[in-house]
Amino acid sequence: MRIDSNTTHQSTGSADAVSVSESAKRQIAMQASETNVLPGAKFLDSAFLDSPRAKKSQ
Amino acid sequence: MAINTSPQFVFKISKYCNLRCNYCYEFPHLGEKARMSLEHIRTAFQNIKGSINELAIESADFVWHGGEPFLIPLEFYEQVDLLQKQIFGTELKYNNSVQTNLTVLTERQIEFLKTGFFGDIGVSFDVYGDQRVDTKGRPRTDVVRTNIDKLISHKIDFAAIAVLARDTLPSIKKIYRFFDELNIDHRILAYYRSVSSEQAQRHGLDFDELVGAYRDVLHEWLASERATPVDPINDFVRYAIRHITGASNDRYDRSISERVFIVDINGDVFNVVESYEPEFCYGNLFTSALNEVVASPGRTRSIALSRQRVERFCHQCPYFGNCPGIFVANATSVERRVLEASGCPVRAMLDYTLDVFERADLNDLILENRKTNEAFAKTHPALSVG
Repeated sequence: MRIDSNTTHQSTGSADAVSVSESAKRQIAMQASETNVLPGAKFLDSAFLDSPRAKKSQ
Repeated sequence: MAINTSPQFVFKISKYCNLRCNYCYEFPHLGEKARMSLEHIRTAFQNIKGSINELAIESADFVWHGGEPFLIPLEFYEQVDLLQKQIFGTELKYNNSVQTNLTVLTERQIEFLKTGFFGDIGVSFDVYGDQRVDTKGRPRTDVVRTNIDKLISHKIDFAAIAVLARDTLPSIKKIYRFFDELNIDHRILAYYRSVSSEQAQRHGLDFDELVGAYRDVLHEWLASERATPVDPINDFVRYAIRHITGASNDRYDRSISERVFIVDINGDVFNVVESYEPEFCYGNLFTSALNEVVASPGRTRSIALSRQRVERFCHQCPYFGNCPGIFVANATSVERRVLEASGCPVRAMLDYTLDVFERADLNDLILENRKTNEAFAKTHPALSVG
């Protein structure tokens, strides 16, 4: 697979049903409700990968 | 040049380890017993403290890393605690983290962990794959499993890391289920740093394998009744939500937001991209102030290459800004090979995650919750979190 274009997502064409639990839905809804939807460049995503997970509270 | 206002200093206190995981990026040094001295650590702390104001540092995370940090006597960490109190006092907020293979866990260590010196504890455990063997080649899986149970029974919080590499790839779904059942936040850490081309060849994954594994974990997480958080799936979900809600202002710039500084056993400071490559060494924290280290030619060179990569792979990407581009900016040589050969796996995962969200009718849920929050923020500006 190679991706070069600047287009957004293409359907995978899969007809498989996607199973989504209530807990996953709650987490997605919570993330969506957070103002700015948690930009991560400053803290979250820039943490050392080989260390305990970065925490939102940081 | 600036840095993140909450930097992480990864102290490689010793390379000595009781395991011999074949994919380890410290593999050739795992038998070396040399340890960073407390005097050197004192100097490093002083060299950090002297730059707090100039670099506008608000807080710091000290990551005690090896080798295996739990092979170091506890008195060492007690002395570190005293040094931090002496040197930083109340002038700097700080946290200590540790990443352990958890093969050693005595009653005394458990009591020490309960003191809270380590604000964050990470356990490296693949669960499957039989890579985590001792010096005689014996798997230590059962010992780690027992010690995980001990941490849980003592109510000591921890997170985990499982390496995604050639031998763990077939078990990736089972690995998620293991941590999910125990409700342990974790990271699936794709093999990303190598000590040799042979090691990279043996353990590294190609683009399709990597993206395929991430897809599997995404579905495991989505379907789980517990949905225990797992990185980097968390990141992909967050970027996808940002795409759907139109939040596109998050772009990583290493020249102002670089966060991780690896302090090798001799004090040499490296980034996460070209760790241990002399050409990109930032300087030495045992002999120089932090502000000199971060202004080094090695850092300038590395950041210039980072910018070129971001221009090439991120500037045309429709998700740049939803995704900060950290994978590309911080890509190691192993990750750069994947980028060059097949493109950005994060982008592929965003394509896929957005498609899954659409098929599962999650877009309306996301937009509804976004709207509710906006309405709340308008009516209660003082209570909204920015």
